[in-house]
Amino acid sequence: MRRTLILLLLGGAGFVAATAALAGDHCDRPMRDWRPRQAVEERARNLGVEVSRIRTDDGCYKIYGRTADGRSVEIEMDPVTLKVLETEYRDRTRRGDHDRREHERAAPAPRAAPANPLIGPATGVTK
Amino acid sequence: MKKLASTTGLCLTLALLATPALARPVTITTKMKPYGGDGAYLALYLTNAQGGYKGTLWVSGRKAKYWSHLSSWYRATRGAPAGVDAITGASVGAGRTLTVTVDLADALIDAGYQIRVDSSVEKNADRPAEVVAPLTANGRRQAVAGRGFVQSLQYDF
Repeated sequence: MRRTLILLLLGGAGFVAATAALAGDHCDRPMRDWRPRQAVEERARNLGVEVSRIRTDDGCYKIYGRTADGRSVEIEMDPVTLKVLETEYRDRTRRGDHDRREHERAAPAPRAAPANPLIGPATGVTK
Repeated sequence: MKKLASTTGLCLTLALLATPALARPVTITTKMKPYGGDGAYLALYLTNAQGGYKGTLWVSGRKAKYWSHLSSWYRATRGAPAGVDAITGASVGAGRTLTVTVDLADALIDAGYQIRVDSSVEKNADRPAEVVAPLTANGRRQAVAGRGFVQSLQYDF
């Protein structure tokens, strides 16, 4: 009986640790601070996006919609500040169902030197 | 006049400290194959001739939870090196080209170091060290083929 209890406790602790590790990989905000969906929709509309769907992903809001020029877009948003974390456009090419994706970030990463003193700052551009 | 001279001296000292001694900007161009999937996560890093990790040059793909798929780099850095956020950009789509410019010390050139690339594409595969390009003066502008999602990598300085 005692052994079973210990095993159950260990299993429970493992489950809690695993859940904690999986949760909040990206946006780590308590649910009580989340802004409502109406606010998200309004924010997206102010960005010029006609919203078709809002869902949550990795603790962030993910908004699907279309821009004024007809481009299909996915926006990842902080659920508390409603800051745009990532914008991803999906352009259908003529080659069937292959998606050409263009990833963009709200702000460019600042330059900083890695730990090795022989390696200086870096910048990267994708075309 | 004396104040101007001391200010100039201080500025020069700071400038020298900010960049590696006798460094030069190296441009690394990575062209992706038209593999027809989601954007690739890439890690460009420097190793010695035996493959020993020496430093990260660039990481493409911002979701840290996927970095473990860049397995050789991830293992060598035990997760990710400090300050990696500053040298991280968006994932690189199929058929697109990533151009990274990084200051490298002259001591790293023709000294047995290698530029390596780990790549990973969601719902596809992980390709650790799919490119291994020795960092030499003779290797400039020579395209090195990748074994996975990278079509070619070349550097110039």
